[in-house]
Amino acid sequence: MSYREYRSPVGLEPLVACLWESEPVAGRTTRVIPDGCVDLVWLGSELVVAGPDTGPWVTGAAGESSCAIRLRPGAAGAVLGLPASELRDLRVGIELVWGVAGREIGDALGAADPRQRLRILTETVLQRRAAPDPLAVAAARRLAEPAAKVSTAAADLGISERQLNRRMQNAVGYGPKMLARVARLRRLIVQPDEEPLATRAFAAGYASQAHMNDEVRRLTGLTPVQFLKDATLTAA
Amino acid sequence: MIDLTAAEQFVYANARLIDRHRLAVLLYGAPAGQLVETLRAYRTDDGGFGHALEPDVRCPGSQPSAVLHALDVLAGANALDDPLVDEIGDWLTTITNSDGGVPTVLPSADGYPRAPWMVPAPESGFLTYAIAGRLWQAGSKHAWLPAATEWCWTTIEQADGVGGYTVKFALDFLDAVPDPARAAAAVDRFRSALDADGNLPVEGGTEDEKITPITLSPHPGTPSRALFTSAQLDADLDRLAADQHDDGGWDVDYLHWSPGQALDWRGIATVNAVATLRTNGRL
Repeated sequence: MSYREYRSPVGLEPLVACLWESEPVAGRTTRVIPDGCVDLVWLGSELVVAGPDTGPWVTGAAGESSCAIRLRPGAAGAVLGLPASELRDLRVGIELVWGVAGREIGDALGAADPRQRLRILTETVLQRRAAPDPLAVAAARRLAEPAAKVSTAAADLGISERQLNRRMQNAVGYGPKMLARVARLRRLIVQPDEEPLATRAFAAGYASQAHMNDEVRRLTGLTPVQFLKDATLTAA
Repeated sequence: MIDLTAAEQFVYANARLIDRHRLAVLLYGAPAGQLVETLRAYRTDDGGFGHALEPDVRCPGSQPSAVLHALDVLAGANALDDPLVDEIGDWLTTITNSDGGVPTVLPSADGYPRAPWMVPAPESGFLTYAIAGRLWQAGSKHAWLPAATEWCWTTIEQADGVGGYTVKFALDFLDAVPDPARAAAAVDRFRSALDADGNLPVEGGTEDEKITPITLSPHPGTPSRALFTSAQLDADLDRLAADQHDDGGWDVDYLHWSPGQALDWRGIATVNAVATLRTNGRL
């Protein structure tokens, strides 16, 4: 599978982690792991919102090239105009989210020259003029620190844990604890691979190697060795 | 290394009212209202902006460089949703050439003090890139934008061996236009114009005048960042931080041709330096 990421234009950086294009390789499956993001994906025949995942999402090769715009953690609620938690672990057609306007965008993507599709997706998000929930973004940044605690993050931001949870459900699609687990998994990916697994587990913030095994299994469906062999960090 | 208090004192001692308000928004999160009000004072009867809002063309009439400056002020205050953006689009349509681009300097500059490089000429020029970029950044749907965008793409993709401020403004456009794959490819065309440190020499400018990486690519995470290594960007941010003068302000390296022009630019450069250092995590 050839996969290519593009950077966000000025004005969308607070909302957009990246844009990407992908060409499938026949017979190969794709495994998407939780990253706190929500993607608007053109799947070759329809525009789908890929909600925030709490576990692995495995698909066979779609057989068609796809492209997408990836919304940062905390941006999905504002861009989509509904609580992101309603899309948790779901793939839904865009018309279920944006109604007629969504269907029109899907039609435009279907009719467009493939080279124009990323442009249409970007323009669509740009013209929604959304602003991410600043509290959710600030919380996401704190929760990505090693040893981050939900209670500390809430206290830092001057709100209750319950309130933080509600804001994160709306903006990100799941609660702060889950986002901290996702951030820890991403820290595991960037550990130097010449180090032993136990060292990497500790450096990423896991209590033990067993804790890491358990977490990686839940979030990716793989053992850490299998997972880290192919994992590359995508923009999120 | 960066003395923020001294920078603030410099602005209070020397800068224009509009730059004082820009600094207040930047440092203290002041509401954008007063800043936008001050910006309106630079408007002209025909709906554009003038009155030396951009210090190098000091005529009372409207100028594209002043309009670009107005859009920069709004962008810096996160106020690109202001109705002024649409009104600027309306004004632009009145000066736009049939190819979709706008002239760099309009005849209204004739007979007024201006920088030697700000010569009135009718053909479309590189300010079109930057202005179109700001309107895209604003999420504007103004009717002026599609044809201007087409002019930008055509000119960029035909350009060969361009340098200096043409590259700077072209990158402004490529960073903002919502066409990521095409922008990434076009950004790469300018790689050969840069020297080993990522600088872009300005031919015909002051001695050793150059545009540095952080000026060429001010926003983290944008397409133009592909042209620079993080070492080049870090070195340039170090350089920018070290360029603060003893009086607390920053300066520009292009020609100082009048005391007022030079001082106006110093106020702008000081606020811009603080903004850039902050955007890039240095403050």
